[in-house]
Amino acid sequence: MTASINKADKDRIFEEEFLPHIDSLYNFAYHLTYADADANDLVQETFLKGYRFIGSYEKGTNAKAWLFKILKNAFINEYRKKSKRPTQVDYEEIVSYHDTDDTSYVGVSDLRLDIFQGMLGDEITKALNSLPVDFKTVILLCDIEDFTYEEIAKIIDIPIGTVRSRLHRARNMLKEKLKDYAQNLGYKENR
Amino acid sequence: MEQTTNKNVANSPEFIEQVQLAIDGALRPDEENDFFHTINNNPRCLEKYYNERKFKQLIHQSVNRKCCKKEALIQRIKSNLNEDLRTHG
Repeated sequence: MTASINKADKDRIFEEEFLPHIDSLYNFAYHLTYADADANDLVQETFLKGYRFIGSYEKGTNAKAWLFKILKNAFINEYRKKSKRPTQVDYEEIVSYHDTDDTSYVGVSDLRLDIFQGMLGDEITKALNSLPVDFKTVILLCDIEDFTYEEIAKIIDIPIGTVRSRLHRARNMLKEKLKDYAQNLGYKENR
Repeated sequence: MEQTTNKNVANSPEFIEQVQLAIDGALRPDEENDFFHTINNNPRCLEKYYNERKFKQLIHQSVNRKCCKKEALIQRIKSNLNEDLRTHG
C-alpha cells in the first residue's frame, strides 16, 4: 500500500503508471457504453477515482487491472443504471443456474472456423456487442486485453471457476452469433 | 472404432474446457504437459485445439479497437483533476 504519499509521487504514478492505459480503458468503456461521450466520461471518472484512491494502489503492481476494476465498477454503479439504451437482459437473471463451476454445458462445441474466416471486423464486433454484457465483458478482458483468469476474477469480482465457465459459454454464444451472420451472408457450413 | 473414440474425446465437455484453458495459458505446467501429450496422439483433438486457437486469434485481430482523442481526453481529465483538488484538497 502507498497510503501516505506526497503529491509529487501521486502525480508521477498517475503519469507513468496510469495514463499509459488510457487507450485500453477507452476501448473497454466504448464496448460497454457504445457511445463516445459516455466512454469519455467513464474513462475520466476512472482516472479521477484512481487518483483519489491512489493510496490503496500498490505502486509498481498491475495498474491496468486496478484501473479496469474501477472502470467496471463505475459502469455498473452509474452508466448501466441510467442507460437509455434498450434494456440488456443480465444473463445472471436468465441463466443463473449455468453460472456455476459446472462444465456440463457445452453449447456449440464443433467449430468450423472456415465459416468465420471471411468475415469483416465490423461483423465480428457487432456479434460481440450483441452478447449480454457479462459475457461480452469476459471476452473483452481475456481475448482483447489479454488479462489472465486471475486478473479477470479480481476485476469483475467473481471466482476463477466462474471466469472459466463464463468465458467458455461466452465463446460458444459468440460462435452461434457468428454462425447466424455467416448464414445470412451466404456462407455455407461445411460439415 | 478408434476413430469414434477419438471423436468422442474431442467433443467431450471436459476436453473443450481443457482446450480453452490451454489456449488462455491457464493450465499448470504438469496439466499442460499431459494435455499436449494427449492431443499429440489424437488428430481430432489436435484439430480442435488449432481451431479454438485460431478462433481466439480471429477475435483478437478482428474486433475493432476504438480510439479516443487522446490528448484532448488527457487535458480534460487533468483539468477536472485540478478542479477536484482545488475543491476537495
